[in-house]
Amino acid sequence: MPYDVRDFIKGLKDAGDLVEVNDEVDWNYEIPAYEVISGRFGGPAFLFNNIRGIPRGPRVLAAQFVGTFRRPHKKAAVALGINPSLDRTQWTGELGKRMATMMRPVEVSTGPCKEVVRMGKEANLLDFPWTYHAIGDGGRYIFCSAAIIKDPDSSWINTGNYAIEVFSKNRLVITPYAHTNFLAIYTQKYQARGQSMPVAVCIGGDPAVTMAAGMILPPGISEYDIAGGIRGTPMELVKAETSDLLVPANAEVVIEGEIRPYERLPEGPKIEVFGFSVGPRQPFYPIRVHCITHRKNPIVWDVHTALGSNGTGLQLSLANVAFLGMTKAFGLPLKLGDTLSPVRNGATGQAAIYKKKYPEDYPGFMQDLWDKYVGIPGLGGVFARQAFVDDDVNVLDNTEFYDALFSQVNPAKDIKTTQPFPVMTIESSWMEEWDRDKFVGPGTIRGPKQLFDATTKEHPPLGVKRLTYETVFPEKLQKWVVENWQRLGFKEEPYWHDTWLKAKF
Amino acid sequence: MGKKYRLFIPEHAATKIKELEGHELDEVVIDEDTQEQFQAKIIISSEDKGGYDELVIQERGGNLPGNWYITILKREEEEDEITVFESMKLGDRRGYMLRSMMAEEGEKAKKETMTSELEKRWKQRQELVGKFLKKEGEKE
Repeated sequence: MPYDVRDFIKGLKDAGDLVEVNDEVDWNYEIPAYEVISGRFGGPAFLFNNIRGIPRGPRVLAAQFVGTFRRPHKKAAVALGINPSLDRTQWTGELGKRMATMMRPVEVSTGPCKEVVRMGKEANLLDFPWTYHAIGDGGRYIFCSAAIIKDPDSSWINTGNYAIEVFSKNRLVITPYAHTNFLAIYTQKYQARGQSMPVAVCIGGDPAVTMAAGMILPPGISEYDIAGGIRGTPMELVKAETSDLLVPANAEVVIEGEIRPYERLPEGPKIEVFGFSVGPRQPFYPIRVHCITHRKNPIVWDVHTALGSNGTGLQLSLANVAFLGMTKAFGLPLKLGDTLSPVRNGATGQAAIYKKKYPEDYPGFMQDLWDKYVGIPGLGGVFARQAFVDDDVNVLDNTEFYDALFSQVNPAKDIKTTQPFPVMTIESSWMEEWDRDKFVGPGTIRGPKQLFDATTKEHPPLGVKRLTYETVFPEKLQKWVVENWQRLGFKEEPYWHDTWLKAKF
Repeated sequence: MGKKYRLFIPEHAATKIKELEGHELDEVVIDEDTQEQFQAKIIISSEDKGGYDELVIQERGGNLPGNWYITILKREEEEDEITVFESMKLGDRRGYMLRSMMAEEGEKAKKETMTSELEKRWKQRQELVGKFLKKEGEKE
């Protein structure tokens, strides 16, 4: 049986991690407000059954893939049927292993997403409870979806999760970042040939598709294949009504349309996962909506992405794994790839370098790594600041990361500000206005990057010895204390990085 | 006064906004009830005139102070023209595009070589047969 968002809801209910609300709630601020409060303490997801002004029965699931402080991956694990009590390292390893096993999707003749088909003027986006998230936002937003397109020259299907503004009854404005395959396919192929690009925005279906859609993958690899891998069974797809695109058969809502060449509409400002409202209003890509298909009583999946709602947790739960695939694909000498700093999420990237021993592999190794890392679109290319640390620093633990950052960086030598690179839209909010005027639009905005070398510089044994539980006590003793911790009467779970040090990703 | 609308202006336009009062403008306006956006010919005013609706003018960093009002002269309807996408054949190519394309090119080149080589051989054979027949004719 294919897994879908309704199974996810049941799983959350069984795990005691879902609150069902039958009272009338408003899409205008109210739903996101509950999400933010819940996110602050790693609280439950919500299923809102009664939305003001939306009579025909669409419901709203407000659920991030966020768990608790210790287990930010808890809900994501529930969605994939993985034991949620795994620690972060084990979770990352398990998901990384699943990601490496790709499974091609299968095409089926029909599916629940075709229960209701609204074509042409019957398709009205305002019939659905898309949420309005924050004061000052440019409009209502879809933050949790999979936008599906196809490379016109091959059978490569690309799926991505981008912020989508609900502009009007039959217009969406989609905001893929400059590094995305979505934008490469649109600008370099469809637009360059003067052709319209068919798009399908899918909400719901298997959460594995939604997760995979959030990953940055090399060109040619389909997120559907990754979703099949992490679910352990192929995704079932069905042909869209107005194009040849293949969409998840069990999606809740599928919005079909086209993006025309060189057409733009104003978008933003909006809240973003980086933790603040991203501005200014910029020209982005409008989707002309021609058809909406959906299940009866569809469930619209909403995610409030701002920092206050535990966007940090979202990053902690999935982001590092998403980057693991990219790092492996390019063969970079990194242990994990990239994880994201919780301070302002995506605005700061951090990476763990896989270095077996000192001295460095060859003179200029660090410089080489920086150049490669920053030069790859979608990897180092997207972040304004990046820090590299030794491989014994557990980058899944922010305390260890910041400890390395503040103790290993020599301000005179280890901080480097680069020449401007093409950057994602985030930097537009702090760029000088002359720069914005000069480089208007996604992919044309440039910004410098700052790199921190937080690795140990001296050769051991003369170099600094990191003082942690794992380095100052004999291994046998460490094990004994951890194993006897709860027997001695402590209720709190011991925090031991044994799994990280032994982890192989 | 029933409805409320919102209008975005770029940075530094705030200082010039007074000059735009009373002039016909072509702008994207947001309906605050539904958050629906639409292109319209409008006139804005800082005075509450009859038939005007309430307006919030937002620039980067916040809303413009004071009360603002708007009248919508003409709302532009969105085009509903549809592009009919022709059916695309799903090829076997999946991932590793360049590699598979290069392999295909190689196959094509091989086919061409084989074809031209066979043609060459066939022509040679024809010539040989021709020569042979000619010789046979001469003998007779």
